[in-house]
Amino acid sequence: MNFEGQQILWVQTLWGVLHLLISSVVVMLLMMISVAFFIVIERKGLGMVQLRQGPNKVSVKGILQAVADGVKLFKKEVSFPVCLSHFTFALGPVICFFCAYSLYLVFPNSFGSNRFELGVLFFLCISSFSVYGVFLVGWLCDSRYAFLGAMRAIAQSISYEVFLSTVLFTSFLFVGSYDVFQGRSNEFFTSVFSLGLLMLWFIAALAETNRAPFDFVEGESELVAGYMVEYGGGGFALLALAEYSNIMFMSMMTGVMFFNSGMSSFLFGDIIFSVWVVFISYLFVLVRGTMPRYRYDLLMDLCWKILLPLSLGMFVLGAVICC
Amino acid sequence: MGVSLMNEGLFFLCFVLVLSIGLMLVSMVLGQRVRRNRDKLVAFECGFDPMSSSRTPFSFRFFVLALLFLIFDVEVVMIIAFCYSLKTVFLSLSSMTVLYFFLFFFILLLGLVHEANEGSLDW
Repeated sequence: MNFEGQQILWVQTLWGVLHLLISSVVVMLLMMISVAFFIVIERKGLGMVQLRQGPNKVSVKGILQAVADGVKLFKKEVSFPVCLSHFTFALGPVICFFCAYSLYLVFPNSFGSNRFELGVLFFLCISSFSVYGVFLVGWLCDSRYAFLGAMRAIAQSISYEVFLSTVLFTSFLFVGSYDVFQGRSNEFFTSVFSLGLLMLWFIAALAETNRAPFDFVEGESELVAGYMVEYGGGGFALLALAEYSNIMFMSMMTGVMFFNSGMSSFLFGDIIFSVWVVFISYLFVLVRGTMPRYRYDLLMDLCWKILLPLSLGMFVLGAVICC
Repeated sequence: MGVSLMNEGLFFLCFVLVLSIGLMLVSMVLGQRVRRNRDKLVAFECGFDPMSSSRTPFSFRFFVLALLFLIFDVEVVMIIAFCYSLKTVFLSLSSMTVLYFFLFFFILLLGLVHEANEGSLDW
């Protein structure tokens, strides 16, 4: 290869890398901003549910509260427990954050630079892997509260994962592929069957993200802050961002799976999609504001004895309907 | 092209990984100096000194639960292929295949009932 050919190759490579970098930066920036605003919305919504105002001092009506909190958290001192090295202490939040945000690889927008054909499987893999992050966070720092919180979180999420994936596959049975974008542009669902499936899915989403009424991980009166009790400052910021990003992703999947009418068009469909995502995320907040906490043994019974057989039955029924 | 080696998804994953490590490092660099203090080094237990290590034997139920999870996760793996092929090649599948599928689910439900009977699902 001559010199000019090499030069052209270099330029092409640089251009490609730049393209990838810009698309990644834009996706991450937008997701982090939206998660920050979601945190504000949650605090505002919980305030409204309880007839109080929520945060309203920072900037206009407290809109920038999450940004201010973030800056504050990153400035806090990072204190390490004596029993472990800095590296292992920092590893847990990093894994949690990575798992939560790498999910946005399958985010189905029409402007995306890449399209992941097995996005649903990727989602399942990553959500299984995020258990390791929780485990590292809770188990490594030699604290009883954190240990109990992590154990509860792991047992809860692996129990509900089987149920969740069965419901997920039942829904994608009608799509016939594991491409999330195809799920978005596939308009089929407005039957009684899908309504039942939606209820099951929403329960699974609430339990999988450890949200109220299934928030046993940080039952405030019992375990203080669950598995993240030893973390403050930056580690806590990463864990909180990961948690809320998971909720956003779950509501996105709900929108894709059940409310996809009108989402197949190019720009208008994107707008409808975003509105649904915001609405369903807000539904998570409302559920937290209204439901009392469940009981842990009942939660496990509910999963293994009621919901799992029900979802398996739903899958068979869906297969019959589909063929 | 050189870019084709660099998968777009892989690039995004690497980017997120670098970002998360970077955020952690930033918090360590920007954070205030730690004032060393004995109470900050031990685990938090609502103001009490921890009596013993938290690495104690733990409830066996969680272990049984993890085993059950393994079994049912295999079931999920079986479903993956079925779900993918149903819309596309189902018509060409023989009726025996459908029968096997329902048999599979029947056995699975039977296993679940057995476990519930046995009491390994009781919490």
